[in-house]
Amino acid sequence: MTAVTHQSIRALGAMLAAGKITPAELYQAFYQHAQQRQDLNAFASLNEEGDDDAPPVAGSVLAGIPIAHKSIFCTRKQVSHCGSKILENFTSPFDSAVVERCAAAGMPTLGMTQMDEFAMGSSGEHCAFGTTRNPWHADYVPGGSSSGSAAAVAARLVPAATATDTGGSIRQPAAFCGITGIKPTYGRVSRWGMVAFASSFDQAGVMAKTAEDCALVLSAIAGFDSRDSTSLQADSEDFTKLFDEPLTGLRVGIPKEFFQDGLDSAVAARVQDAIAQLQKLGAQTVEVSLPSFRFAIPAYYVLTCAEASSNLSRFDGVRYGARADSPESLADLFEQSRSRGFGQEVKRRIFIGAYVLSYGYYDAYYRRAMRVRQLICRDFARVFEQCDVLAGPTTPNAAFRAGAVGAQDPVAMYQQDIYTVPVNLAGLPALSAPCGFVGDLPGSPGLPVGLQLIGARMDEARLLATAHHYQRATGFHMQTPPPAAPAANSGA
Amino acid sequence: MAISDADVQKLAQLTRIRLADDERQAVSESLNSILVMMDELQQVDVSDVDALAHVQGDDNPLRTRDAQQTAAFAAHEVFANAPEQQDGHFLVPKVIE
Repeated sequence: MTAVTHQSIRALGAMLAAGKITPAELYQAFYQHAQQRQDLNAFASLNEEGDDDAPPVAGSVLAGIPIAHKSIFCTRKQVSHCGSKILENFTSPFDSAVVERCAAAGMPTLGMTQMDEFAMGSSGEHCAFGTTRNPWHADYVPGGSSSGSAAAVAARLVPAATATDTGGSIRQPAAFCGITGIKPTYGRVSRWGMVAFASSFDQAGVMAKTAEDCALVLSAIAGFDSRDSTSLQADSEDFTKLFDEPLTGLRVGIPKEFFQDGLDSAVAARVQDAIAQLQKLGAQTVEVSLPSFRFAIPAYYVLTCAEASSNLSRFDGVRYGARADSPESLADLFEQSRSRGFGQEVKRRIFIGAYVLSYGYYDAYYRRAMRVRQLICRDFARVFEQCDVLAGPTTPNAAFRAGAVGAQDPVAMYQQDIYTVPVNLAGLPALSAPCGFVGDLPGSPGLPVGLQLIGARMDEARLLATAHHYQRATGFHMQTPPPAAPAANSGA
Repeated sequence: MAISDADVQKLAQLTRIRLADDERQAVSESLNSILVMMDELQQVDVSDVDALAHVQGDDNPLRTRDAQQTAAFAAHEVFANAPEQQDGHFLVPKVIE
């Protein structure tokens, strides 16, 4: 029998409903497994007892299914450190909308996950509390910024995890770790209680083993919330609603810019195989073009750094967060607290943000980037007249070795998100689903590759249905990373 | 365009982030590398394009809401995260001599 930790949410729900396992036993199975895999550094904190005050929820398919939250989400019960020393001991006085809605669906919180500091990073290496390991091989990064959520789901430490995606932070780690991750339309899921990085880009979503599991959790967390002024005035949906419709006639656009220079040839081959599989399932493909694609990375970094420099000015060591010892003056308190509290990458982006917003550079960078954002939106609007979804790679390469990218030049790390950031500039929904492996690693099928599917605004149900049909026809999403090496000192 | 050492000092001052003298050089190099990447934007013809501040455009108009009374935090919940506090106030170093 497959281990309980490897089962889908629906299978776990059926086991709970049939009384084959109690919610407490199920919780403990995941808790024990997570405890044993601390080598991955996927969790910032684990909740041993579960939420004993969580009410039993009749009729919820998610009742009793444990979930982990990225530590960017505020919760009253655990520390939300956001990967930063400046929030090292921060426990929020309130629950974020995402945490609240998961709890309302009856999901106990297994723990909070590690992440790149303030969601700025594509490897998990910019976390003040250690780098998360890729479960497929400990020498490789899990991707980021939702590094811990991705590694935890991939290693089967939790059935699903929440995450956020400002420029690829759900899809890129999902691709690197061989799991499914969806970033919904901007505004679909409330940002209430989610630490802000770049407010006009940030969006919460879900990581899980399968498209179906993602759909079930997304249905619970999506929907209007008056506390978020950018929340879309649309009810949540049953995101599995199109699962019974065949893919016959689905028009899949292939953006030609996604298959040009910079794409690893082995990754390209896996993605082409996946597109051929979609054709076998009845989809038609059409080549499309996004002419402004190459300006997405620069526009994205101008705009998100500008927003970050403003958002992160709230961390001053006065009302919450780490404070410098014995400051000489108020200015000294601000400067010492911020200088010690923020990591290198965060400081860099604050500087860039302040620069592009400053007098003399605002028009050349910030205003220009907002205009380029318009062009990118127009590109997508045009291609969605020709097709229903877009398909391409999630990342230009599979996971890289820790320390191998960006140590000398941050721009090399930024280029990792080349296929994901255009989607955030346009606020569209997109997902990544496992579509094969590359490389030669002893004892492992290799490193996972992600297929990215991009949808028109509010078309999450179609994206998830497309991925669901693909997953029923292939088995990549069911492959699991090698089990952990036995602990050297099991008595510790 | 390039970011000079004086610019880095100015940015550090504006953002209240202190940089040691031996850090400034490395920061300056990485910022200039990012700037080169961002300078690609200068190649785009945006003469007939409006700036887009927000992807929601007109789809999500600002809502007028009825005033609602919502639960407020108790003072002890707010102060639970305060680095230093006294008698219901956040403590900071003396501002006025």
